[in-house]
Amino acid sequence: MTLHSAGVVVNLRRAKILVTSFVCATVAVGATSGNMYLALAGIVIGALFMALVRRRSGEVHTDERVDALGGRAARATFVIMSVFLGLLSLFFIFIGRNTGDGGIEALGTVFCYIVCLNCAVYSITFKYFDREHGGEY
Amino acid sequence: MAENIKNSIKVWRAARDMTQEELARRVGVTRQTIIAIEKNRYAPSLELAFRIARVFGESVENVFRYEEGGEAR
Repeated sequence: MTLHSAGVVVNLRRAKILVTSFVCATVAVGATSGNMYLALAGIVIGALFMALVRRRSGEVHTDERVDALGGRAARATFVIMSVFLGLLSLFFIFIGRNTGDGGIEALGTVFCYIVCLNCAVYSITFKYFDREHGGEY
Repeated sequence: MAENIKNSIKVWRAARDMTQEELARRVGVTRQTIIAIEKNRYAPSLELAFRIARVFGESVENVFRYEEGGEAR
């Protein structure tokens, strides 16, 4: 949890709060003054600083449980998004055909292709990792 | 829930006056993972089970046990 640097002990949680405050302040000032570059610079500097602090803290941020949770969350996200986009594409296609609006029908078709692409990428990555971990076909 | 795999990590930790944070650091996982294992809410991998047992200087069977009858995952 702690970072030892030049004899100073810095709490990682405190560093996160400081960086978040800095980024929020920079983005707020950038947004109110209409300076997009200031906001972007604040975000980039904040991200770089946090990456540096995390690397030097030596704290474990990820382990097998986090990986397992990530896998389950990714699969749930895949299923939910595929079903949602699939139904949305059907809805758009039917609405587009009934109203004669080609734009909406085209949007539905695009969503449909995205769902197909999503399923294809999932299958390919699944087979790749299955083979990496000893699966035979 | 890891209903079939039970453990006595808490007992071994107390016997060695070791905190969850220290155990987590020594086996290279987060403290949340140690908490989840202790509460039998997560079944660790075989490798992590061996690492935990090695920290206590015990065999895996002394730290983890498999109980029949629970719901298999």
